[in-house]
Amino acid sequence: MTALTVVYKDAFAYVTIDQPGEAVNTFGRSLLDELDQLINTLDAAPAVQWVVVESAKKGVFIAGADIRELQSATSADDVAALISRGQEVFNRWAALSAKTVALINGAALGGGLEFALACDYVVVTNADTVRLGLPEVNLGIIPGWGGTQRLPKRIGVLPAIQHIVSGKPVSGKRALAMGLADAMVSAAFGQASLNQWIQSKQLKRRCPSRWVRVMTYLPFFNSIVRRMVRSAIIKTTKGMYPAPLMALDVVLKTHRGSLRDGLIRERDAIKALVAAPIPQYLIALFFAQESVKKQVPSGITQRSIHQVGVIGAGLMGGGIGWWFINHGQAVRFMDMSWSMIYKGYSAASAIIQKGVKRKKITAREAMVMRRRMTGTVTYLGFEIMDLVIEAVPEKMALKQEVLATIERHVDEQAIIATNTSSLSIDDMATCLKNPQRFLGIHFFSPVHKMPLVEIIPSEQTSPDVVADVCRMVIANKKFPIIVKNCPGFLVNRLLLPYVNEAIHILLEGYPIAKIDRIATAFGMPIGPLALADEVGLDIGLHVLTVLEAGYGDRMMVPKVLDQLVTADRFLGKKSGMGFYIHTSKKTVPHDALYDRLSINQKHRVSPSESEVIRDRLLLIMVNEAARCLDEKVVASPQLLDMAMVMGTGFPPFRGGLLRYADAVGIHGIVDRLTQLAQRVHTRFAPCSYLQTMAKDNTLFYRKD
Amino acid sequence: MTERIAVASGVRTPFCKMGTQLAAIDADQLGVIPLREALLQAKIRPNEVDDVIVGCCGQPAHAANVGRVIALNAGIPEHVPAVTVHRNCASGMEALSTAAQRLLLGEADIIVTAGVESMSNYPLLFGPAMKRFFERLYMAKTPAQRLAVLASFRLRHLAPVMALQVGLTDPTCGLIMGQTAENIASLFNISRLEQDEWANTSHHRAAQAMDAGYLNTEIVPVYPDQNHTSNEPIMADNGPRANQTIEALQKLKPYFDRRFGTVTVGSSSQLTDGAGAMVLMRESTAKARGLRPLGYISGYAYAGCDPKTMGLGPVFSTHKLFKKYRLSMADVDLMELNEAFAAQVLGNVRAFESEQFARDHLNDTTALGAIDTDRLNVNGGAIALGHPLAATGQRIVMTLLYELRRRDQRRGLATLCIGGGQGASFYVEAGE
Repeated sequence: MTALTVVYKDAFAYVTIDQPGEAVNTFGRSLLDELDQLINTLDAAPAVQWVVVESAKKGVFIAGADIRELQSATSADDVAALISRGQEVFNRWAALSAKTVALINGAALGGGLEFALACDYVVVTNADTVRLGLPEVNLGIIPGWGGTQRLPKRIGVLPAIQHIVSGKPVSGKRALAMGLADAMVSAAFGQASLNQWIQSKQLKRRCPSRWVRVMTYLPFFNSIVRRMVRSAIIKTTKGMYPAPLMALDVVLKTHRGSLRDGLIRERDAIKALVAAPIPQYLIALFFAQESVKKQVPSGITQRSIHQVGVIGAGLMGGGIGWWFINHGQAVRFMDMSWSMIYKGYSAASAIIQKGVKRKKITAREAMVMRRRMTGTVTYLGFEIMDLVIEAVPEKMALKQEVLATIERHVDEQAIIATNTSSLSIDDMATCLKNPQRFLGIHFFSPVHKMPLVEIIPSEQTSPDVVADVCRMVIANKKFPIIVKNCPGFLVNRLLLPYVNEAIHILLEGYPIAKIDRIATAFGMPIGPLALADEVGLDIGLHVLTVLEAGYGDRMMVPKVLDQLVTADRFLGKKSGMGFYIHTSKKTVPHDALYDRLSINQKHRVSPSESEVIRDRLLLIMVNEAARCLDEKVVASPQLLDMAMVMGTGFPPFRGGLLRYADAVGIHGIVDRLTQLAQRVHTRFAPCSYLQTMAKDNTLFYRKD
Repeated sequence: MTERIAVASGVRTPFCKMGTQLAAIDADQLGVIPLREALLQAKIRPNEVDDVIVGCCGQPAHAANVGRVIALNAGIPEHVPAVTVHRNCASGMEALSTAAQRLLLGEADIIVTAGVESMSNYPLLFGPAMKRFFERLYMAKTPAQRLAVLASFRLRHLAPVMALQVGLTDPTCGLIMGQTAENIASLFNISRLEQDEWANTSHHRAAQAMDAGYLNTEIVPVYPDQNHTSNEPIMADNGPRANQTIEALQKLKPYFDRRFGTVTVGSSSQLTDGAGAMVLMRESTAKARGLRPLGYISGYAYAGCDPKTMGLGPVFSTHKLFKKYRLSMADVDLMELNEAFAAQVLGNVRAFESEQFARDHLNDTTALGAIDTDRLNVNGGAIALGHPLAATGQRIVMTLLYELRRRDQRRGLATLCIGGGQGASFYVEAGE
């Protein structure tokens, strides 16, 4: 045995799980086999009356099943075999004559929690790291090692459904309150504290009250719960994700039956789920998040960033400031006047206040956080800043002037960054004496919600600086993606053509709401025209103009957009008018636009036309994404897809833009683009990268 | 002193009258604001600080050793120690002199000092009777006992004790601070009119200084956290009244001795919230770091006196200071004397120039030297700006240094009277 060690003492067997060479314990075949052997040993040792299982990993009991094994399973039958194996071992474990206790001192997730549920007693410690949950639905599957069977028995059918469907882990305290844990012991004296419970015969297995159990046998129980939960799931997933619905179905169909039947149904459900590609996509995205750390160049210096200067204390500056103070750094705003600084302070303060309201932080913690913000109108104190980010309006001359001024005030070690969505980092770098320590950090708005950050080194940026910034971003709980300097960088370069295309389509007379609905039906969180209104048409136009200047004809912006913005002041949500009319009560399509632009609005859109619209919106992005890979704007298809999912809300169940393209197939993509190039505009002409792919018959993800 | 102590930076919050703009920010938060800013302005990273010394008279009950709480909230690393010092009104100065000692002993190279007072947040206390009631209730074991205790409750037990009021009363002589000012007024025969004139001057000087922007460099704006009605940060002291007249002051009733008294609330310092912070290091350290200090502390002295006339403390401490460093009033270009009360300021002016006083009380043959009131508290004093006890010591030293620099003068004396019968005097020199 390598992962499991057992110490026998009196009537107790203490099992410690410690997978060698791994940061966390995960259930793969090898650990299952070891557990199987252990069961044999314990069966042959009748003197053992109690088996206590603990983890030697800090902060983790068992993090779940080994997802790599799930990912490498080649067929649905392979997956089913893996499921059966786990079920079988856990059943044997549950049938041990000795009493078993899972002593949980950290994260017990997925298969880890299912193992704990197969123990007679679930005991948590009072450590903050304790989290119990069944997050399988997040990966497009459902709990497969008895989770859907044993959890309802412990905490009741309805709470179990809520727990499994949400996929959200709960704290130890909450687990105790909901009956998921049978007892809580001191983390410092885990075993000794547990022994006291056992010896005083206070350790009792919890189960739902009799009334709750009787209720589940009422004739209408199932149909009521199904209706209720189903509509809630559809509301959040828009019906795009089958796993939560499947979990609901399995629990409802099995909670009155035997464990054996239930486990079979559980296994079959997973088999059905993995037959579709969604779980593979979600798992791949999960690993893509991990791969973010691998981008970080190996730097020599390790600057730690404690003091951050933020120039321009607007809404964006305030959001950036909040992100830093939320992670313990001190922020110094610099702006033209104290009242401007107050705007940034208030923007950050408002986000903090939301945290207080949601009880994420206490009022006192909020006060301490606010005290991390200071301000200056003269660059006073910038000598000790470790990082200075400018977030002034997007004008090259202004930014260059500000950057040159920053350089005069900071010391040699400080990193200087610009937050820009459209201007060239290389051009900006020309105004600096020492461009090696300068780079672009592109935040997405609103900063406190968007997890992605584009890191754009200039040609001269030192790898050390990139490494330091990436490490800081990761430590501050966002995902950095290193992008080569080009107009629009990565996310805007892909997303803006999609918005632009929607405007082209609108100008052909298609209804605004219909265009957006086609996008949301595909799974986009918001339609392109509604998105343009959210961002502000002036800002969108600015970035589009930069893209057109950089890429020419294929990013041509319709002339009328300029009219709408400058002459009519249709700026989107902030001015109340854009592609939609926004009032405090509702948002309706701005149909007067068609008259204003003298276009005949089409009221009927045929299914085939809808399909063309969908393809136009998506393939314009695919074509550009291929160019980005060709130009090495981004290092890999994985990172590009992750950026799309995190930066634009591209539907995760599609696996990302390039996964979608692969699903369509390279020939399908190229043929369709060629058609569109002939029928609509040359901007759809498939780029050379795609054509080479078609010739070589490869996919973006070659190995899949 | 073997070496001058460089004041690398000094800033303070606006001083706001008790119960106004700063009322929502308790001392453990208020102190953070100037402390962070002082470090930034001195170009000192928090991890370069060797020690934190904070003066505070009324520490919040929830933040014992408030200095440590402020230090941690200000991002000073955990390994850096912090202490709270208390010498009543001179607590902010005590922080400076304690820091100077540690620097000169070589125990530290960089010390950040502060003085903070949130008089708005001084608690109301239950009296001893109520406290005993609670104790007995807590100790009672049986329901019968509990009932018996409950029955002993009397409404008068609820009478609160104001921490502020008892804090401003001298426990040895039993006088509230204003009564000690009355003592000085009668000792030196200082009329009501003289006092009101001084108070009026204080307000006008402060208002003019604010208008001219002289105080802006020392003030760090404070952003209200919530319930803010305006969209502007708090930028200025709200005590000074530009439209103050002697006539209005004359209408006020004496507050501390209603029948025979002369001291009114108008000629007393205001109750105020505020905080200040200064970063100190040896002159040589400042030079080595290439800093341009705001100024230097060249000497200081504390001395005791009769608690019943505690306001005369500055005479005693300045006498000691002059003797110690062989100085005289001729070596003073500009002077700050804290205005606890107008009567007390004027009492000091008389005592400084009185040979009789020197003979009787200082065991000296010559007077300390006349104070030129045109060079005293030139930008107003605590009667206008307020007296947030521990913060005042920090304020008068930094405001003196800023003003010396502005006037291109060199030597200053900052002195302060201390409840309980003491005086503190600091001799400072402006930076280059």
